[in-house]
Amino acid sequence: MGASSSVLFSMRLSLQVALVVTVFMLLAGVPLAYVLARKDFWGKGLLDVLLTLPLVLPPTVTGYYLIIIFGRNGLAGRPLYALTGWSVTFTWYAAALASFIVAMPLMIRTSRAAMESVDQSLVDASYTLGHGELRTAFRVILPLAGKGIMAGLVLSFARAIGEFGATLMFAGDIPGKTETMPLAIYSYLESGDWSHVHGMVIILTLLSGTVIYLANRMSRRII
Amino acid sequence: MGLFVDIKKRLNGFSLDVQWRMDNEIAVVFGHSGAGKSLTLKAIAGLMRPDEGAIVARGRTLFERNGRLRVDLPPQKRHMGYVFQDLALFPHMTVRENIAFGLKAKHGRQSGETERMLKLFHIEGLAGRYPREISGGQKQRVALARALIGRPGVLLLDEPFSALDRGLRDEMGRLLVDVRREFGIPVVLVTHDAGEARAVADRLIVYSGGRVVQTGSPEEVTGRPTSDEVAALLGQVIPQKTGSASV
Repeated sequence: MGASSSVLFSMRLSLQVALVVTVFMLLAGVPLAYVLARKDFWGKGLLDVLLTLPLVLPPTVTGYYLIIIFGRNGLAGRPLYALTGWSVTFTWYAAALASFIVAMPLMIRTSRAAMESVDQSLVDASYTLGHGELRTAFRVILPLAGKGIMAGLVLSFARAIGEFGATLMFAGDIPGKTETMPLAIYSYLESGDWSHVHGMVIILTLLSGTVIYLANRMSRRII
Repeated sequence: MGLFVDIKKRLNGFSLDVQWRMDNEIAVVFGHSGAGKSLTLKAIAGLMRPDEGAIVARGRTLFERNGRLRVDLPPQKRHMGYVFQDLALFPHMTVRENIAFGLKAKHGRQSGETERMLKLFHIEGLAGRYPREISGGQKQRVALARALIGRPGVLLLDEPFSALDRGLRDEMGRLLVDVRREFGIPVVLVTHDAGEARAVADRLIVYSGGRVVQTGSPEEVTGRPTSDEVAALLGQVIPQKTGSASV
């Protein structure tokens, strides 16, 4: 694979991973944030800690846990491999899963704060007007928390674009397969190919800067 | 049949223990702030669960618990019109959308009903505006229209007029009397304003420290307050104490 086509592949893969992470964040992160914001249940504190841990753990440690759980000999990975002969490690799915877990705290914290700041009397008003919890969530809580949810999604996208450590641990650095932009930058640096390093660093910086600017415009309350 | 309320609730060192009933009329729950008035409304609407007691609205049991929980309908099944202290208009909906939200979506007559309420409360001209774009008195009308469009069994108002100036407050009081006549349902108004209480009440329910200290028509309560406390609450001159120490 030529150097420029490998650069293009990395850019495309990084965007693909970030988009998939963002979509799943909308599907899974919003309900999780809602439950944490509005429900009391046994083990809530523990769930909160688990979902926040990737924010403070070194990504290598997060990657280690992903291997322990989803690796070919992992808790969930072994039965999956035995059943299908397929393992998620060293595929781009692994890169997406790693980015998803690492971005989760940003999504949860941002959108949860937005949902918690919705005035309780508005929620009560919806109930007394005859609407159940689902309709109240979709018509009142989520629209009013919309800015925070959007900001969380944008931040997740940015975090997924920039993910390095957990991806390296869990998906490996396989050119043309799992080599996202941050991994490619590291590879080029190791082989002394500075011109490609410069180019990709500038692209990543501009992309991330734009995303943070957008997130700031959408919400003043990020983390 | 109106409303029967029997509530016992302990909350952060405060104890609410009240029992009263009303007919198809305007009852004013009156007392200082912190007397348990709002808590009572929340319990009736199902937004706060009492420890013990029963709540029956127009023959329908909404809540009952004697030792074990027998009935506890969720707020969305209680058919209560509720006007909140801060009005709780949805900031992301227009006046029209706010009012229409008081109807179930499947309602075929939704838009016709909404227009009718807009007209009834003289807010047709504001239908497309957002709550932040209208005045305090206009917000009151929107909140009332929204609470009433679903034809609730009882209308509950939690000091909704407290932020208005005197003139507007009197106007809202007259509107409330009209509304009760139009909809023919029991209305419970919570207030700490003695003038407002006397002006609109068919029945006064006086609260103090989580207890009912007197109930009756405004004339009865103001004419024969059962204690100095009630008289003081109503802003009357307290007669000289006749105790052992004084003449």
